[in-house]
Amino acid sequence: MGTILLLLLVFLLVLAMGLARDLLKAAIALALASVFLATILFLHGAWVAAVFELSVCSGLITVLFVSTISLTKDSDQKEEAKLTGYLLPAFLLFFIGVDCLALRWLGPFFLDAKAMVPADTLTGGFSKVFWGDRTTDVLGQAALILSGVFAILSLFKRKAQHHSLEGGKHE
Amino acid sequence: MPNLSWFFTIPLSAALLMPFAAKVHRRAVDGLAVLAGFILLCLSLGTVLGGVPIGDFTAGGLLLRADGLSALFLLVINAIGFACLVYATDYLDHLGGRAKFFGLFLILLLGLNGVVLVHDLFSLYLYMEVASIAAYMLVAFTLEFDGIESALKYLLLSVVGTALILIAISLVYMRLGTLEFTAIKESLAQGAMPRLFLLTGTMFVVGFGLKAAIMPFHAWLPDAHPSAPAPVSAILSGVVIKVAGVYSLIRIFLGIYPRTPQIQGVFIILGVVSMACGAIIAYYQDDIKRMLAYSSISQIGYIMIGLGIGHPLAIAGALFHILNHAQFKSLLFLNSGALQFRTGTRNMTEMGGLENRMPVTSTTSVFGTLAIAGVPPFNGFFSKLFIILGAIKAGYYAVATLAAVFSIFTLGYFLIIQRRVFFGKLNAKWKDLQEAPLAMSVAVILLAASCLLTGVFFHQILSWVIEPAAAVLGGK
Repeated sequence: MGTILLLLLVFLLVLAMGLARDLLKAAIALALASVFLATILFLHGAWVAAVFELSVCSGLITVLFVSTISLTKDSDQKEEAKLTGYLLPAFLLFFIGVDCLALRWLGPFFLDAKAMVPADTLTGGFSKVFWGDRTTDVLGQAALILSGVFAILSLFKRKAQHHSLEGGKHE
Repeated sequence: MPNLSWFFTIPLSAALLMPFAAKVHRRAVDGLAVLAGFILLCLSLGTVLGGVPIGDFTAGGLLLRADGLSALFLLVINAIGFACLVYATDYLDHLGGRAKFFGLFLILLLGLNGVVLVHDLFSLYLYMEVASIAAYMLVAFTLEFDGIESALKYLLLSVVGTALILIAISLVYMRLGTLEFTAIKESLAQGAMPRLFLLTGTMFVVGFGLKAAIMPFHAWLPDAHPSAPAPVSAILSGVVIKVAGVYSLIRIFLGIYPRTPQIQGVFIILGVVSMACGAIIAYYQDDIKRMLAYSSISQIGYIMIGLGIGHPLAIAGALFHILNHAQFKSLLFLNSGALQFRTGTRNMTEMGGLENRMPVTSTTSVFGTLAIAGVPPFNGFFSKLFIILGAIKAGYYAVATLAAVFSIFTLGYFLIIQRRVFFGKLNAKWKDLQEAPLAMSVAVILLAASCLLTGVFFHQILSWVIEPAAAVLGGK
């Protein structure tokens, strides 16, 4: 029942994301949908998937979206751009906190005896699965994050160039 | 002693060092990127010639596996990657942002290397996404309207393919409890998953078909490739569609899933449609990069035909064509980039008579044209010959005839393009045009030479690279 309710919430948030006229609200709806999806994954014992969902989909992707949106705001929308300036570090801190909490304390609390993941994959705890068994995937995730960083840096660089060109024209 | 993990650590370390190199000097960035590319090329040659041990590699939780097929694709990825990195050192002069560009490019190489070195479906999916995300950003790197629009189209269509692949992977895991290639193969050999086989097979064909830009799943490619910077177009067309799409199809349908006549039939039909339609549409293009993009679809068709026929000669031909197409298509895309770099246009109707102004670009384009059209002794001749001979031996006479006809058609339209761009009367506005810068010329000379040498020494290439890859798939 709990899973069905959570799935319904995910569905409604995805719907809201599609219908939202404001990109920032859509990004926040996506982040919340990812949080509920991660909760479903936790409830079903899929720890690795849940942590990936929280850290990448709710955390990193939201930060990327919010950064990009803040970059594309027009100069007459300074109030909203300022809001995104505060939201950006807040999002980062929040999701790092959620990740730490999930890894340290919430995991054992949520772990269900009837979990769908075969018991042997969790031998040695989450850290063994994460760092010991799936190092190849962790490396891939690091590469994904790095490509996101380069993408954002490229956008910033271009924006700075664009502004300097516009400044030149005004002068 | 170098090992398989270097294919991950070298590009990742170089990408991480890029921002620091940028603080030193722009040439430090170029040097770091080219050095990383060169080491990767040497490592991939090592996997082919025995310097880098292949097989299973374990270091902590890092589990990698390479066989003859992986070695072939590693060579394709890193040889073309190196040429593109060399080319980009001069090409980026007009684009800027070189540290970010090289960083993303190296992550793209890391993702592609990862795809061919992992041995479970989830990791394959993950590294395919690493490569794809870097590729989306590289397509949009100019941040001009065309680039962003094309990257968005590429992203949206890729997401459809990715979703199908992920659902299929989930279904396999739900039913078999494993995603490891060998374990899946053993389970399927024991008769597991007969009904899900059809469903997941269809999802994999469509999903990876989108990544490989096989017709009718090709809509993103003719926009994405022309809009991207030239080195990105070259690696997308020469490598990415083959690794993300064709390699995955080969690994799943020729390496894991049991081979069925239905799957072979689907491959042949998709291959013939791609080969014919891609070539015909390419003929009507005025935009040189768009024409090359459609030509890529046509050449992927040849590869699909070879794989679908299933005869050992045809499979060897298809694998050889993967290596060859990567070389001549990257060469032609890099040359189209040199033309755009100097003339500022991709429209062939505005060009003409550039032969004397850009002799290196013109000569290497002739090499690329002859290779793609399958003219001996260039490499394309031998791979197409094997595919056609394989089709004849397997009794697919109509397919063999069509493959030969469209090879001649390819020669025809590429010669017309050669005449429109390089021969004839020089357009007055190009009278002061200069040859492409040194690094760009060096890269295309290397690729042109490899097109010729791979053809001349095809016997050695077959025994070193193609036969070990074909042996993995049960053929020789």
